[in-house]
Amino acid sequence: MATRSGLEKWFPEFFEKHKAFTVFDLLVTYISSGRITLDKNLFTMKIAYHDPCNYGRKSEEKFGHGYYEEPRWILSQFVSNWVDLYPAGANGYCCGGGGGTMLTPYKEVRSHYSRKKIEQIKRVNPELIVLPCHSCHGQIKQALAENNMDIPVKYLWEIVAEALIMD
Amino acid sequence: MNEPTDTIKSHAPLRPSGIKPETCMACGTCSAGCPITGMEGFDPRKIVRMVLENRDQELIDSKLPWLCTMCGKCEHACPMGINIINIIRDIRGQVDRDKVPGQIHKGVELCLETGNNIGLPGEDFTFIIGDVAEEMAEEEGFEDFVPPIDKKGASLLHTLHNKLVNTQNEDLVHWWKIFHAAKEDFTMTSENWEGVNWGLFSGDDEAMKIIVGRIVDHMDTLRIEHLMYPE
Amino acid sequence: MNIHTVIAGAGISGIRAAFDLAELGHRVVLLDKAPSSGGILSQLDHQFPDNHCGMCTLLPMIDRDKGPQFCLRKGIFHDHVTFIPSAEIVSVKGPAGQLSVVVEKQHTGIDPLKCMACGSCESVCPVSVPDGFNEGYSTRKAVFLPVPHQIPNHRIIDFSVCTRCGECVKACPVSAINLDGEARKLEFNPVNAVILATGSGQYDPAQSDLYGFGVLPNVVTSKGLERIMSSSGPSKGQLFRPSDNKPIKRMAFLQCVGSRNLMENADHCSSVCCMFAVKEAVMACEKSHDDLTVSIFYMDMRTFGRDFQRYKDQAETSHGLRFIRCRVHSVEPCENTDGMKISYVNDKGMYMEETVDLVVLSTGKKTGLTHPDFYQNEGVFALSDTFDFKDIGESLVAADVAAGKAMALGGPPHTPEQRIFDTQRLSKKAMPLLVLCQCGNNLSNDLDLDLIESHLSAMPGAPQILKLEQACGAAGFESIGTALTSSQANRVVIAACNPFLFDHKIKALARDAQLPDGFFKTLDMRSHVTGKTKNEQTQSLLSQIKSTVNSLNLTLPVYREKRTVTPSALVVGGGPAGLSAAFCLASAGIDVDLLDKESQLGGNGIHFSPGPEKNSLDKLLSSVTNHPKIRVHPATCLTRHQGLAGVFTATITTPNAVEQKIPHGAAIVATGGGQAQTLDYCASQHNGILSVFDLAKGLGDKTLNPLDFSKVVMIQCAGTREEPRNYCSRICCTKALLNAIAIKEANPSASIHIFYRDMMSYGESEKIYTRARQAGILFIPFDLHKKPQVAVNNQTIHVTGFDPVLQEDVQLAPDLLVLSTGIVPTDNQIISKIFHINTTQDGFLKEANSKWRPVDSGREGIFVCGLARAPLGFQEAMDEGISAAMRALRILGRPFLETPQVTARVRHSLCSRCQACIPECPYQARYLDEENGKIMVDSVSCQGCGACASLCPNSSIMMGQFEEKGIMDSIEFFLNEACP
Repeated sequence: MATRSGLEKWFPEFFEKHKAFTVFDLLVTYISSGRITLDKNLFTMKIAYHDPCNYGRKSEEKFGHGYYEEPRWILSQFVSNWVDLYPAGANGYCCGGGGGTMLTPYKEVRSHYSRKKIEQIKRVNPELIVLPCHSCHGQIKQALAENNMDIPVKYLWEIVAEALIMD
Repeated sequence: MNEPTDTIKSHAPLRPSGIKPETCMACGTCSAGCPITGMEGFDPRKIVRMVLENRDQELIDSKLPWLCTMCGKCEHACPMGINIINIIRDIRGQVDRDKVPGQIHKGVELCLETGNNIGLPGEDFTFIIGDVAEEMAEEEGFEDFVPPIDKKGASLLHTLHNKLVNTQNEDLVHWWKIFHAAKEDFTMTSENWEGVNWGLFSGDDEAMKIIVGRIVDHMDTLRIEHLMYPE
Repeated sequence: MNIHTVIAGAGISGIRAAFDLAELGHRVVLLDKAPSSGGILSQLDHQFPDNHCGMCTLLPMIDRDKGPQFCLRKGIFHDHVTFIPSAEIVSVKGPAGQLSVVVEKQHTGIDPLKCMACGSCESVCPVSVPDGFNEGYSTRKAVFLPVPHQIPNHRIIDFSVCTRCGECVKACPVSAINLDGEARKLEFNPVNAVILATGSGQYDPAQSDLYGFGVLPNVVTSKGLERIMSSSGPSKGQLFRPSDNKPIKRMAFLQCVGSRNLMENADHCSSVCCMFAVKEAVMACEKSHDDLTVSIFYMDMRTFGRDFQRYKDQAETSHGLRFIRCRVHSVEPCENTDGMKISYVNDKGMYMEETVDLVVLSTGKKTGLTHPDFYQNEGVFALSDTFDFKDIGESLVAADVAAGKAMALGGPPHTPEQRIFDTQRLSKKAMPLLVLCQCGNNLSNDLDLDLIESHLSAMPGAPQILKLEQACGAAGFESIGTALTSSQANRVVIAACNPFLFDHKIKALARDAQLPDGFFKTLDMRSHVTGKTKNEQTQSLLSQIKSTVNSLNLTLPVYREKRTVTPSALVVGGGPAGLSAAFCLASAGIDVDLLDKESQLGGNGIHFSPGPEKNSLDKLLSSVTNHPKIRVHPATCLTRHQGLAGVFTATITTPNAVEQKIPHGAAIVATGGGQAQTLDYCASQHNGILSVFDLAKGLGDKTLNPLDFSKVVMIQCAGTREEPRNYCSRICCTKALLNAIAIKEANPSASIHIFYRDMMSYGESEKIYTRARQAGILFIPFDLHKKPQVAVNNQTIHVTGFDPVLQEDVQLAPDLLVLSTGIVPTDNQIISKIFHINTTQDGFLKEANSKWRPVDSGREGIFVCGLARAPLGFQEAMDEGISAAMRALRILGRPFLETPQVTARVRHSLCSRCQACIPECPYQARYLDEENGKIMVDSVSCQGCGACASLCPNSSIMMGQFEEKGIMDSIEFFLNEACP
């Protein structure tokens, strides 16, 4: 998000020579072209997917495309029981740690924000939470711990890596 | 009485809709939807109102802009399409750098100095990478994995989130495994490997540009065609 | 048969335009894309302020025998109006006056000429889909009744869901179903005009991800709630939550869904949603016996119409509605229930969260609709702002304006039908003819017509009986005609099916036989098919036939007054409304006497600053003053007004004090209004304190210079929208916005603060509000209990207010303070006495019904419009003027007025002149003739409702067609049948 907007703003010529991909673009390409194959029997538990603001709303605003469909397509390739939090997508809730707030001392405000994410998670009651963002990963893990909820949190590429079938 | 000219109201960039912040009708949508409204006096509608009244300095001096997660949920429902997040970033950017709370600006400074937000020395970086890669190579299917660093002519540049070489080493391997399985010709870099850019959060365009520029340099020097966006 | 106008859209606007033209004697084709008439109102049972329906109030009142006086929600029946459902105009060609209009009529699968509405098809249909009529809260079949209460009640097939299994075809006893038909093209040529009254749809909230509509089952639209509460709805009028049918304890309305939203390309207010929400909230409270908490989340409560503000206040105090000024971000589900969570910021600036059982979305009008390509053809008239939502009254005014344009294209002059009666036949003893329809033998299992025939033949004074295989076809009616010619029968009873289906054929029969329409009665035989035994059903039908024959035998020809209409009009008041009324009448060939107490015409318009409004008024002024049919009487007062509709006389006093009598057929009262004065906010204590109107005038005529003001404060609703002047004056907000923009544009460094209660920028004027904010004007809302305070010290104006957004006090020392003081009527106290018409508690002339008869005074022949009636804008006043003129033309456009079939008469010998009936008549049709000392009924105004008859202590009132003897005999007859 920062890199992409920086490139577009200050180094537009970059795109004449190079191509850039988001994590989703790469995973979709690898899966759809058959460069990687995934074990469909590994992730049968109930998995909730969380949309990070950067890949969703902000990408949509800055680059005209929010990455809502891609991660869901990726999940659908090998996860049998994934669900959305409500609300999800463009109206989804931030984890509470966006905007660099993970790096500020205002932890109380951050936890207060996260109550919304926790409410959402409780409504779905998943066995695993999957997301594609380092900040969200940290913040949601912390919020779950604060609320004594024992639900693991994994990166989207983490479960892809775990499901890899190596020839 | 003349309006001051160089105000947040006048220079905060507009959303793609191009709508001026003055269009705000103070309907309350943003405040009603923001989960931290009321915390420590935070209230997005108030912030917009203060901006409209040119009360910039009060905002710059407050901690309000740093409480916001800039998630944009307020904007998403804003019926007038007001640029609330851009306003927040604009305020953040006007705060004296030494008054930026927490690690955000310190990270930026470290990044500018050392090439990464945590100031990790080069040898430590190489060690961690090597160590984690060795461990990974013990797993079935990844026996021949060697982490590529500064590989000229590689197809894809892979930058790293500082936390992967800091507290979360175990998460380094996921992409490596995927690349390995996909037979992707990727590389990391030994210097300036930082993938995240906190200038975005601190409102520091100058630093942000330098850090993005490093990625461009890598791509050019190492003749890499493709970039995987770090975040 | 010449069609004058084809009207697309049979919502209330289309119906009104159709009746307007039909009452002028024109023939009209009215069509609708939907399979039924009534538009959105077919789904809405109740309208505020009285929370009744009242749609029948639209029925023609002057020549009302042209159609049955029957519930208009069920269908449209009028001799001059042909309603075509499931049809759309596809092309309009040719010059105005000679248009060729091609209409495409959808194939609905069922032949209405054969169908007897038995419903067998529906019972065998295997398809089940959500029912659009109930907004999806119930299901229907593929073959279904689109509107359950419609007449004729033929079902239609929804081919988009029909599986073509053919079960219905097999089940239909009369082979009325054809699954393979195609749409038909109908051409009307020549047609004078086309009116587009196609209306707007509602914004679909499912296109937003904020409200959970379509995901959370207990999030409904306002129309959905209307269906949920309707007695013809899914729960038969009970207020239940859709997800689990549990009672609702907490309900929240979210206003402006899809409106006032630049991101939805909706920079408009949908105008009706605020009052719609308040009405529904009141109904919901009543249904749940106030065991319900209703919160309305709003930005501005737009209570800008007649009685709106008081209705809202009343709802707040008597039902405890909570009005919360905050737009809700989104709706979320609760953790473990079907409830929903809503968060908002309250008036203390605090973040609040609450749980509700039902969320109602006040969805606005649909955007992005486009006109058909023939929209700009000559002779095609779209209703002004076709795609806008309007209150019922305003829709009717807009329809009148469109009908006025169509009328102006000419057409045959009104030639009332001259009826000849066979006096010889009528003078004879009653001789009834009974027609028994066998409905193509379809009734043989349910009714024994032979038994009826033999039974009747045996009774004394037996009717002549004509048994027909099928009465409704052309052959059937021909045989009835022949039977009438060849016999001496002078009364006819037709026992067949739904009488509304062949009303016009019976009228033709009556005309040919030279008998009054009232001597023909129709019985619906099918209504006796009730699932009992054949014998019981036959006996039931027999009783009805006998009693009908009996009462018809006692029916006498009514006395029909023929009142020759004075073909000229009186218009009192030469402001925008009066001018436009006068011009419309004169254009229709009517002589007009236009009175104004001022020496100069134009009313408040003379203060207009240069611009489109001034141009349009100037144009109108010159058209009026130069029109050969208009006599202007400047500086003239009206002193007396006498007479009845069609034959009024006015007494006027000219400037040189000469009395003059002006006979006229109809009068339009447009005496205007002006700005109100207030003592609030130190109004008279400083010359820097002006009214919004004076500022507009000063900026317009350049006596005030925007550069002289550096700090401006405006306060809205000064002395208004609270008792005793508890109404919105409608135009002050827009005027204030325009003033502020004008100052800001000329003087960008000026600071402008506007304190407002609810910004009333309804409809498209929302754009002006948006523009004002973008110009940098700051808006601060206030509540009645926290008004801004104004003080004048040492020649300085001090304004102290409270900004609820910042939760801070605001101190301002403006050099200009502008007060929006509102509108009051000018001369209504005298005028209402002269015309014997009513005023509202605020002194405005009161219309007969603010929804359905917006410009009729209570008295037939007298119409009210403009500021004298209610606060409104310039264009609105001009439109009301046209509307009033169109209403007047119903009378002026015909040579004479004739008594309809059913009216009240007074038997003076029994009348004690107690006058109790006079105030009780809803039509002000009764009056005391002082010269003769008699209570009289104006037979033109009387609508035959019978209120007087039921009230009269001396039984002195006779209702035509409901003669006492006939009714009592019938009752006795039934009693005898029931307990022999």
